[in-house]
Amino acid sequence: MINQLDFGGFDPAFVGTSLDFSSVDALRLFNEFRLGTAPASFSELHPTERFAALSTESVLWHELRHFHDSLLAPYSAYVFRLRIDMLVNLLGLFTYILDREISPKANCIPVPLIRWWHMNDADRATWLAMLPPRTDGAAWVPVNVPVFEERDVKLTSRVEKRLLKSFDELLRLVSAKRDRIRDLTFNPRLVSALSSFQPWQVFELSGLAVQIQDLWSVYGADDVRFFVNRIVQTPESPYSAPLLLAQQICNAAGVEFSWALAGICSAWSLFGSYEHDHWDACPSVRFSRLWHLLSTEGVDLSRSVPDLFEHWSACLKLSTVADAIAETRKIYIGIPEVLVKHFEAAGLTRDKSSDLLLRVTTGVAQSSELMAKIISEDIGTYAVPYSYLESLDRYVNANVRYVLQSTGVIFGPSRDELQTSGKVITWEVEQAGKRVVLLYAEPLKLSEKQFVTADDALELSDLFALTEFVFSDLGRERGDVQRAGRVAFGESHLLPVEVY
Amino acid sequence: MANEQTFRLRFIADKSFVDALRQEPDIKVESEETKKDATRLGFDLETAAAIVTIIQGALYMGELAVKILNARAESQSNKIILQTPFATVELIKDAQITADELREILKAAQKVSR
Repeated sequence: MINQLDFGGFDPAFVGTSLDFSSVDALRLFNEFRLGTAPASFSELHPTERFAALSTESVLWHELRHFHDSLLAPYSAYVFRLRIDMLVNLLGLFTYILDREISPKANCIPVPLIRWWHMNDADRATWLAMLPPRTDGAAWVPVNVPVFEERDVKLTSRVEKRLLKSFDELLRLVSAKRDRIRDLTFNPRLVSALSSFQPWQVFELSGLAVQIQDLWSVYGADDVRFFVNRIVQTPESPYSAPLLLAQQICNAAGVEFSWALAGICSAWSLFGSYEHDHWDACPSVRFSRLWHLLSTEGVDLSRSVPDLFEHWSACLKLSTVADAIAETRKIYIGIPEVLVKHFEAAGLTRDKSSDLLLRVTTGVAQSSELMAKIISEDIGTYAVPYSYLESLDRYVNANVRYVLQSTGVIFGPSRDELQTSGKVITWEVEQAGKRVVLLYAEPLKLSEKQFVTADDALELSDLFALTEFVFSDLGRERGDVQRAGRVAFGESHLLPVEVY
Repeated sequence: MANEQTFRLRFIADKSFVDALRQEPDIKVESEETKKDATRLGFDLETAAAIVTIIQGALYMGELAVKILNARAESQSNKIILQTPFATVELIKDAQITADELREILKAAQKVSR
């Protein structure tokens, strides 16, 4: 029986799509769908299982839409740029952490650093006193991390010498970048006592519209009705509010519920230019304004998508989709350029990490460039879920990352043979003499247009995971983050100690 | 390490689990926060909370394992995340796990690996 209800979860740290499976049955069913051998109907199943089966069938297209949207939306490009920026600075933190002059007798590193940094000396001592004794009998000696003080510090990101003071500055710089990501992802103006409408919900609506279209095409009206009702009747579900929004915007426009219209509205809302509109480019702001416009004038479904988009932008005095796409291209192209300048200015020798960063960010820029070119010629096909799914061979191919939780998969062929066939394995354990794979990735075979390899995408996500493990108090409990951190410090003289 | 001891654990779980654990007399909930990014942690439902608990005094690891499993039975979510200073463990609802197995997991998670 499959009880899992949510299989996706877009993670900008992985260039591609991510799927989570917590049971072998779910993974097996997913593979049957991919091979075309899955059952033709699930209507006889228990509702929980039926919903899980329909989710498994359609999750890939939902997640793929997130990947393509992220290559086109300025919002995603800014978040990606800030995350790369944070990553570069976080990698700089390691030189302080491992510096024996700064921390001569250190034998542990309290993680996440952001929590430890904000703890005063007394709280730090209390925490260390609660730890069980070390096996070597030595006292716990943490890496020397400055104590955070509330004061203004001018941040330059250029440090000449490794001192606690510059360690503190680097931590502040990373925190400042994180706050900027928060500014983009959380809009306080759209929070009320009863609800909160944030950009991620517009992205989810875009993915859901595609997912529902797929279910309609494969399983038909009954299953779509069941799937939609199930989500709407589960208010705790992250997909419930976006789907209700879709229903309400259709009501406002005076038409029956249509996931095609939901897809079109979410596409227009996602593609807003921050250069033109500043914070009004926020996807949830654009969606809210569009809602009001449709409430007053309805929607003329006989008009073409580009025509509707131009009309909405003009009426609402907001940027056009073309403005947004141009801005996205500019941001993505700028990332590797800035990285090269940064590496040169800091006098850093190019190493494995910097080469990887340059390769992936260049690949992402090329992916965005191609998507922008196709969309500029034909936004309608992309915006409408049906034609989007029919045209996947035109768009950038994605890597898929499979995260197996509390389960694993045993492949027959050796690791090298799997690599040759495109599967890249980064996490496997030995169990009863067999290699059980817990995390792997492979490219989809939807189109020939791919600019980031599965290998590179996984390696970059591992770098992100390592820095999240060391620094961040958000999302750090995830298995991939914990593994990256524990493995990286496995041979080090520093034992990571979780602080909470 | 003695079997009977004070533990300080962190759980990330849904409200039903937290409420069930709160009913246990030997378990003190020290702090509670709502996880802002619960969906990224793979929870089906968005309402996940992180609690730090102190489990004090005469409570054996085996007893603790039973209490955690009892609370897990009340949970509506598909998993619970358990953290100790040295490890993070995911307990998936579907996975069959006995109190003995959980006791071993708790012991291993408390252990200093080097």
